[in-house]
Amino acid sequence: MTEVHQTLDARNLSCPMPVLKSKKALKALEINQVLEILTTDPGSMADIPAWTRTTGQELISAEELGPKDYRFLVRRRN
Amino acid sequence: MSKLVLVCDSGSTEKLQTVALVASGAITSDYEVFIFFMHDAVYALKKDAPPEPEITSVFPEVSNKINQARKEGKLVHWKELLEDLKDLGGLRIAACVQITEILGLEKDDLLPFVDDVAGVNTLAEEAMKADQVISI
Repeated sequence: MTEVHQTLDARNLSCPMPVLKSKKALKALEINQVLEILTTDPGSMADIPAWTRTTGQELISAEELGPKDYRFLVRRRN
Repeated sequence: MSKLVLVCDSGSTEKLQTVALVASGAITSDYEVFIFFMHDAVYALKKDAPPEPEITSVFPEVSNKINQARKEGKLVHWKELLEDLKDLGGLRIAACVQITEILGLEKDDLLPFVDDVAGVNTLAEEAMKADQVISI
């Protein structure tokens, strides 16, 4: 089980706010710490992985827990 | 760090919204972003600018749905988005000096996130240093 250091509740926020809030939250973590992101924006299933790829962060997991219910684990790498 | 220049020369709600959204994608992807507001886009930067007109699509259904979503707060407003992006760093915003003067405005009359009132040579310099330039 991956240890989560902080959870960002970005549910009910629409594009581009989930990524923007994730970026701010990750910046506040130490390198190698893990951010859990909860969203309801359907675009986040594409956008959060894209954001981690372009910024060199590690996407540990991207799960669809139910209809419009998503959970991501991202490890800060830089 | 990659750099993006955005040129916005329209004060229409759609264009302003698009500029802020594209800037958001770029800033969160670690781009440095320079936005240059020209023509009536400068007027939209006035601290006491009147409320913006509703979005007008050629498809009435689109106008109705988007304007309703805006009223319900489902779409983040471009000004709030730019303020938020400023906190992340890497964003510089300039207003065209000529239009600012024509409108009888000074830098202090513009929203606090405006960094500079500058001319087209500033835009040219930023554009030459940029990886991408997009005019919206």
